[in-house]
Amino acid sequence: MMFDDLDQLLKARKKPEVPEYLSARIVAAAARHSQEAATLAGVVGWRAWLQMVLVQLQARLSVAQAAYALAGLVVFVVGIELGVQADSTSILSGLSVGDLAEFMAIDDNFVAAEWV
Amino acid sequence: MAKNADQMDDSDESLVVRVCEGDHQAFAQLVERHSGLFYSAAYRMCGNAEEAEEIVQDAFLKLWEKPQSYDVGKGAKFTTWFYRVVTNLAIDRARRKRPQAGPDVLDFMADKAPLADEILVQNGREAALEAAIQSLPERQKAALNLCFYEGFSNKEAAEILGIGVKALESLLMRAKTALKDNPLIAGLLEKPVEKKTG
Repeated sequence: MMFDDLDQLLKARKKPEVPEYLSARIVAAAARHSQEAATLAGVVGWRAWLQMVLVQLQARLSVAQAAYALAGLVVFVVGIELGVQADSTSILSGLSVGDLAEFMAIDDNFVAAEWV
Repeated sequence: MAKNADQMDDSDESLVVRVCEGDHQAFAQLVERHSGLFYSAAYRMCGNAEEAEEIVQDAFLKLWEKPQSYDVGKGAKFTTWFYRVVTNLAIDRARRKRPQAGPDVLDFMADKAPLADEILVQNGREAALEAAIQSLPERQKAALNLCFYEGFSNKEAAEILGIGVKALESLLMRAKTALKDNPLIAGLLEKPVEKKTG
């Protein structure tokens, strides 16, 4: 069938088929989101630490320095998790043990005792 | 099928108020009531089922996370406000896929279907029409969808897109012109469209 004008053609556009599971999927996603948010909120120490790091970075560093520091921090933490010695991780990440202690607001002797 | 009396009394706006209080049941009711409608809107924007599901899910998650974003006191209907959320999400998603460009360039760009005849022959008129519409720039597509398929007046559609009525009418005119120039559409129309020269 041909159409005699554009408007008529546009009106013949096929209506999308709504998947039956859609509502259930959305409701489940919202429930999961609530659960995750509640779990994260419960880990107060982790959140507080992250907020502190961000404030420190904001106060003392330019954007480029902050990005570099954050990247270094990630490398440092991953290195520790993988069991790489603290001094090697420190070299790789560009962060000293003192830097890490300052960012984490803990005594640098503690850091040294724990990881070095 | 008649709904439960309590549900019938719960307007969208009153359900959102309950969502603000963390009422998951009210949220589920809104999803059940409107997910199909907004899925269709999202699908018409992106032309892909999976993406449409993600867009509408993201939109509802935004509602769940920040229901106070919808200001009941302002008097706008919930569905009108939510159409804006869905439309903006769809446009943002499409723009993330495209190379960075200013709004003028994005609105001017219109992909011409290189294999129009092939699409027509292989997939039929429905696929050809869909391909032609999906090739429109995002805001033209949004204007067309809101006015032609979602049943909004020009004023309502303009409000959803956050533009003036004249700007919306301009988008509609450009969308129709782009469609008429599309080889896919020319093949579907009874009379060949005369292209203006000069």
